[in-house]
Amino acid sequence: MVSPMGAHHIPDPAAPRVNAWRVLLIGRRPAHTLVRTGILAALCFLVFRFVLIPVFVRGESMEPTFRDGGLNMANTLVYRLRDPLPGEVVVIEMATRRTMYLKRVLATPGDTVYFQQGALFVNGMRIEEPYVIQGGRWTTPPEQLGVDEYFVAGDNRSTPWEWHTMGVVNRSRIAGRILF
Amino acid sequence: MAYHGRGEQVTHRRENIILTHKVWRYGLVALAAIVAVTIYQMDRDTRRINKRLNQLAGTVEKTAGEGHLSTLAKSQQVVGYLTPDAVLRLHPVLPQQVTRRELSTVFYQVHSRVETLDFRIRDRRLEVDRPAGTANMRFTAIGTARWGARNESQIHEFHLRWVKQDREWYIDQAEIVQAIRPPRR
Repeated sequence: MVSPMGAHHIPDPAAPRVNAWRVLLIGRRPAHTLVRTGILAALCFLVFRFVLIPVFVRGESMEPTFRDGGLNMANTLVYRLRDPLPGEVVVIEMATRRTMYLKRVLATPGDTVYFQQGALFVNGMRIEEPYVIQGGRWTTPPEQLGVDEYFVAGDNRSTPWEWHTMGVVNRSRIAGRILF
Repeated sequence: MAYHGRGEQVTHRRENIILTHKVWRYGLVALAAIVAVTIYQMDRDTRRINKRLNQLAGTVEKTAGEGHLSTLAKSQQVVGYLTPDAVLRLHPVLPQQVTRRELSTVFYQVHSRVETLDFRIRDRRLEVDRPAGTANMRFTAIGTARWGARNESQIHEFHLRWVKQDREWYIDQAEIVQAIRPPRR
């Protein structure tokens, strides 16, 4: 270590020796470290509780985009600023935000949506879905979406649509958007 | 702290008069006791309802090896959690609206067919209205049934309305709420 005067610093032999491991773990001032740790813990709690919710994927309805057992994050702030858009993957809350559905938005309020032999039609136009690898032969009746209503479905269409949780969801249920 | 003189001891007493004064001390203890008793009283109904729900979930479940007698007993126990005129809207798991008797019959049939039935309550939200003797509960449950080589799992959101009758809580209304409504046929 070099002092501001340019000379080498000579440690004072009378000064108490500081344990390097202790300094590394709890710092030179344990009280300050404790406060900093507390603030960091509170910040982490707030962020991961209210802003970025960890999502543990269970089930196969979103395969192959999201595999069973995968871990992801949901951004809950994005839909406070704007509405969900078609193609976005969203989390839909149930009784609480601890258990949620993971689905893709296919149509937005005012749209008429239906499936014909596995192909998606929104307002009479066929929509290409590159994310669907395991396609099926879904044919559903046309659904006119009301105000605040969105049409959602999973990417895995290999099961009959009657067995697949898909359909109309209210805007208030959409809790956030999947990050990656 | 060590005392080195009479004057210093007096000064210390003046600084901590609030903590050392007997009246304050006993007052704080009494206040803590009142708060604890109030919380216990308020929480008693919540605990009881949660316990009833856990018992109901245990009754709904079926483990490998359970026989017909057990199924028959459970089908009777399930309706014991309901008021006599309970309203049950458990579509799509059950028909649109069922009575207690129909629920017991359907329960017996389902339990007889499946080998195992797992019923997990993931999270719950409960609001108790003590003066009215009612409580509203929302929870998400995952049911997994296995029979033969098949394994079917369903996740649903339940809304229950509990009422207190004769110092016990019973389900007065049970409803499955669909967060995602399938297309109308």
